[in-house]
Amino acid sequence: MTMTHDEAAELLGAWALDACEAEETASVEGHLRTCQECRSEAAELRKAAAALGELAAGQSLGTDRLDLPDRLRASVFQLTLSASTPAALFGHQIHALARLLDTIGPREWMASTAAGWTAHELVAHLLAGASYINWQLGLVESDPGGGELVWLPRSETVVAEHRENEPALTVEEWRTHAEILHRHLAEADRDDLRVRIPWFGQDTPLRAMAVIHAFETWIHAEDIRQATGRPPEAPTPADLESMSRLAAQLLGSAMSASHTARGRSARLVLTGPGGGELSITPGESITPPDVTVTADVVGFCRLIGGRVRPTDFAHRLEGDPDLGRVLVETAASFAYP
Amino acid sequence: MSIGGKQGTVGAQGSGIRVSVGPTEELRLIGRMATGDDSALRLLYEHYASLVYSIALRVTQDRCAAEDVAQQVFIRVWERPTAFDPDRGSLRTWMATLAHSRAVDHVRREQAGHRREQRQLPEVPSDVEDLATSAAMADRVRRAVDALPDEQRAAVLLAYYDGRTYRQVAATLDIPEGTAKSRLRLGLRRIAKCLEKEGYGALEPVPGARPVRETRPGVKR
Repeated sequence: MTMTHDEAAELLGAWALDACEAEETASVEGHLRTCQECRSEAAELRKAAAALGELAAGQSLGTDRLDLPDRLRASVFQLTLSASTPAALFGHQIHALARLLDTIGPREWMASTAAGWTAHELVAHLLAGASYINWQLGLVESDPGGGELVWLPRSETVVAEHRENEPALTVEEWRTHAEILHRHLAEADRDDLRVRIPWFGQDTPLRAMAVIHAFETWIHAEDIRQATGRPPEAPTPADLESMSRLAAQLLGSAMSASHTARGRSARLVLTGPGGGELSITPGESITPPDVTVTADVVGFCRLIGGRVRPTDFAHRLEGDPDLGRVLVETAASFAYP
Repeated sequence: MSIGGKQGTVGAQGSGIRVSVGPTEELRLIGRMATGDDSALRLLYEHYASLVYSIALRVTQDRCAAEDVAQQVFIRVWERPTAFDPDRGSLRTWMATLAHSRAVDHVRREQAGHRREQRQLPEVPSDVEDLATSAAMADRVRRAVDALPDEQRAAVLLAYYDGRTYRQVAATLDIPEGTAKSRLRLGLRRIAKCLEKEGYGALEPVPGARPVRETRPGVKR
């Protein structure tokens, strides 16, 4: 439903008080995107409406002092203690990369990275990834990848197209797509996160896609840091927990395809903040495991990201050494360009 | 994009509303949350939990629902702190707005579930006299609300505190819908003017905010 200026303006008070019907709210907000005059009135009215909230708070400061439920504090603080949600994880990684890209100097864009691309090309590559998900979800009206859905040619196409651009343009387009995806993830409910997207021949739930893409965003930020002589940065413990859990899951399914590993059990003990014990055997956990691999959680994530060779991977093995070797080699084989 | 540019906008915007302390600290707090800094979320909670929960409780009239709403608000901000737009108001305004809209969503869902079986709501809106307050900010708001013409105050309070739509407000007060719309708009405008005169918008500083890198979170609008 489109609304005339007058219709929308008339509804601004009700809109600011959350007193419109859902459909009207959407129409008013549609109008606000295009009308500066209404936008500034809307902001003023929203501030006035929010001020009414002070009366509710003031009331509870009176004789009957408001006791915040302990459970509320616990549940809010729990957010930062357990594994990150896909939206928080992805948000942290795009924010970190955006901050990094703000500091890249003109010459540094051409630095060649461990991914085989320049810093500039890597941003285009990440644009190909974020926009792939957005396009599959129908969040955008046009696809920077030209509708190419096979990953490698898609990425090549976007990178080739952006090679001639100013890096700033590539960064802006990447940011736009990353923001669209981030907003969608933050607004998504359980069912939205279950929506499946084809990914390397598998229908992968959005929840996992988001973690994979966040992982990739971190790895490429690290590539750019390394290529331009900046120190590495580890994700937060909650982010590491979220990424390593997904990696262990993927590892479990990949291992079940291997002859050596089929029907056997392995355990991963990840040390450091964000670490923990993970069973990487599909199905019921069998005790004791046939092999236990102990490693630093950041090191394990770098191995999964293809940035540490199996031979350079610092870890300790207990149990079957052959099975342990298969596990480490499988973990190192996940990275795709 | 730098904070410096934004600060200028915040100060200049709001037709004279004085923002003495706050915007920089607020952006720093948001910036810290965007990196996943958990101490920033704790600070946000200490600062705004009472406001968020009070609004949710007042609108939903239900402790459990209010707790859910407050939790949703903090999850939302933690997951995407960069949705905060300093051009549209202070962080306190944003938190209050999120709390109110989610509380209203709850009320609407309840009403839909009960097929318009009206909750036990007073026929006349809550008396402002009831809203005893010790907070200076609330005092200023109360003066602004007190100064409203009766018919505007009734409409605004019904919509805000009871989470009613303007159509429900019209039905409750037995006035045409168009009249309800304009009373809500005029009432809020008057409150805005009055608060502007009183200097509402002077924000409390966010305590303990430490400087972070001076970049605006990865936001493009």
